[in-house]
Amino acid sequence: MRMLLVSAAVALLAGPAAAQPIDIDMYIGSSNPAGGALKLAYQLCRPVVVTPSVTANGLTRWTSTQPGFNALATNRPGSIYVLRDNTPVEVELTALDPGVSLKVESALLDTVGASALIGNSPNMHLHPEWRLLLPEGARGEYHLALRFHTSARTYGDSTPYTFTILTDAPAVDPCAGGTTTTTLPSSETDHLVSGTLLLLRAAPANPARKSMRLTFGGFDTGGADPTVTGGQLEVESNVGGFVGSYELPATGWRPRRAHGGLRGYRYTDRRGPIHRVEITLGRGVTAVGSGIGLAHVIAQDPTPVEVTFTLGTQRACLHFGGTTTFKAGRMFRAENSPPPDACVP
Amino acid sequence: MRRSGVIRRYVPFLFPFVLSHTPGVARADLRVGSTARNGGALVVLVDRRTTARVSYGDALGDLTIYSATEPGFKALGQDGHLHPRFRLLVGTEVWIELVDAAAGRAAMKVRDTLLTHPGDRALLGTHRGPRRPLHLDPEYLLFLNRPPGRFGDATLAFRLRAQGYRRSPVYRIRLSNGHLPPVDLSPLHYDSRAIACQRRLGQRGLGLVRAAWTLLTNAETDTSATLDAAQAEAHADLVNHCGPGGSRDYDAVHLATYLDLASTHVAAMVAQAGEASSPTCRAALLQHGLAFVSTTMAKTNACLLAMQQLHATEAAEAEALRADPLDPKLPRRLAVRRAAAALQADIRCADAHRRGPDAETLPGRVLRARAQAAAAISRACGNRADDPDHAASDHFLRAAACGAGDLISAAFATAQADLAEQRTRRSQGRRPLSSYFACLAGGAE
Repeated sequence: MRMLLVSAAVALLAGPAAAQPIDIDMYIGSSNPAGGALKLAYQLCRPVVVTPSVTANGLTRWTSTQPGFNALATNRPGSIYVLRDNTPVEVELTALDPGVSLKVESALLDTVGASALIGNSPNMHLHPEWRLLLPEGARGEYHLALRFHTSARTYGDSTPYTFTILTDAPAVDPCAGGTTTTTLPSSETDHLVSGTLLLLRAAPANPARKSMRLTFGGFDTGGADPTVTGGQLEVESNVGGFVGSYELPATGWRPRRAHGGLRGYRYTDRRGPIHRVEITLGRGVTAVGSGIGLAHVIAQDPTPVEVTFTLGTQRACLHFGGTTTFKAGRMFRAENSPPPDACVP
Repeated sequence: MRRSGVIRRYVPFLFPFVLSHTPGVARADLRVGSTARNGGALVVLVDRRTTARVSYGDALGDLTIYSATEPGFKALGQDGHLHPRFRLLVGTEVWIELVDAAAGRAAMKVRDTLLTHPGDRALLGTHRGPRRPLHLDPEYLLFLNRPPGRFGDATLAFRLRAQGYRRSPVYRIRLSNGHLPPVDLSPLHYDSRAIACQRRLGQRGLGLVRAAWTLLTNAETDTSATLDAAQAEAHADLVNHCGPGGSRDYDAVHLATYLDLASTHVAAMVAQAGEASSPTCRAALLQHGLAFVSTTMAKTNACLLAMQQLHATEAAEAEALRADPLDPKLPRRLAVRRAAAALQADIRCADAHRRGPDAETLPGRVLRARAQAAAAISRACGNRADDPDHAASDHFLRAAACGAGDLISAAFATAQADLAEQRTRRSQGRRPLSSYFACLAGGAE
């Protein structure tokens, strides 16, 4: 059987090997906050590129250990949600081309219906072997479909996901340009936007006296309604060594109306780290927070700082670097930052 | 004491233990750091017993390939408190270099680069900070020119390099195919058949060790056919209990390689005993060595089986609570069930809360069996350094303990973690049980 899955992205895949390895894992969550079906967050436009590991007796064994399976760690409101703790997740083959198989630890899955335990949330992390056994000299594009299953009654089975397995790496990133996002069941629409202002303040002697102000424009909510989906703001810096992930639940959002029309949305929460978020449709977003709940640490210059703002399936990604002002332990300010090359995976 | 009374008595002691334990096999990574802040030499936190448990993948003609993707490599998340181990600098590119590949019997594949010869290198990854640390699960490969189901192992040696750091020392990882995969303890899979399989596995494994030992000890002629027959008989029985017709925990190749591992270890121990020059010493080594190995395996198997039942009880409890979180009586009912399982594990393993003689506990029995064997061997082989068989006899017991430990961890994938979690009594120093067992193959620290 040679399955038929030809997308616009796959057409771009022929050509010489790409130089830079891309390590992007798959994340397993659910379609609803309290249940629903198991769901995968992964850009299926990204092929699994296998390479030869052994050739003997006229056969070549091609393998890859990327991508791996992980449990989703933070909710993506409106899109995919974190599984309850101790939810066991199994992977089951639903279709595969001849020569293709998947090895999950010691379990070799090479027939339709074969399954194996990946692990239990939230510590699930496993790299399978994506495998292809071909006659020596053969190359090409193959496919494998799998779905996720759990014995926990809270969740139903996922829909099948089809992966493309290539013996030759694509010359260009097949997911670039967002051409494939709408065909994927779990992906989000990413907006690479410029940042107007990010101001982080802290007081070394008093951790409660932290504050943050964020302003950016050029973000289209894409019709997402935060009063239904809620939102999320993430502020992180690898250099600074902090990751701040702030939930903006739907209950805190209210629509802003003017002249009978929708002007935007306002989020308020007196107790949470983020007190106020203002979305003005067609203009921009402002977020303000303060208190000990803010995660940022500015003992050293955290440049660059990555910011991700998510509303439903719409995600704005910002990269505050370049022109910055920094006072050790007290203040970090970045203005007019250009858009990033890509969103943080 | 009545059973319910025992449970009531033990529940308060056992709660902290059972609540802190996560059932299943920990998939740990080898942590990569450095010996000094922002510099020094690269280090990998790897235990000398770390084993990549490779399993059957393909047979390309007469070449059988076994593979695994664990343990992976991951950058240290924080600086060490007890040992001088430090995080890598953000942006550090770490390379791995193969130092030894067991003459082509082992290999490591790092992304698309196959490392097969000493000096081969590949980029392990770039450390990009706490959110995107250096992390890679390579593919470990073991090549055997033997049909599937035969035991084989090999050792890979490697070191790491990175700009701004001195290169790491050479580390070694053993690749072994004799280890059975971990049992799925989820309520969906772990049932009475799985328990029966585990019990049978312990009995048959030990039975084969005894049979092979006796056979090889008394052999005047070639015994390979008889040994193969004993192995085949044990294999058929285990396939019935644990394979497709039984609990479905293991396939035929897994079981065959495990039994072959048992025979291989016995053959090695018997051969080592044969190095003694005096027949009296040789006979003592064989007789008392078998007694020591048998006692160690039998008692430890019972402990580990009880531990596995405890983990399965915990998994079932989590599932029951998830299914019916509002039943007010459920938590108490489950706690009693769990306490009973924990009590069994405690009795079979450390017996830490009872007052019987120390020598009757699992570590006590293992130590006593070893001491008895050592005394008898010493009488037969001499205990002075200039006795001709002194060195051989001294080395033999260590090798026997090591072989037994390897067989125990081959049958129970969680053996090292389970035994490390159980501690001896206060009178025995509250030591982790794992410290009594040499050569327990384990994962990463």
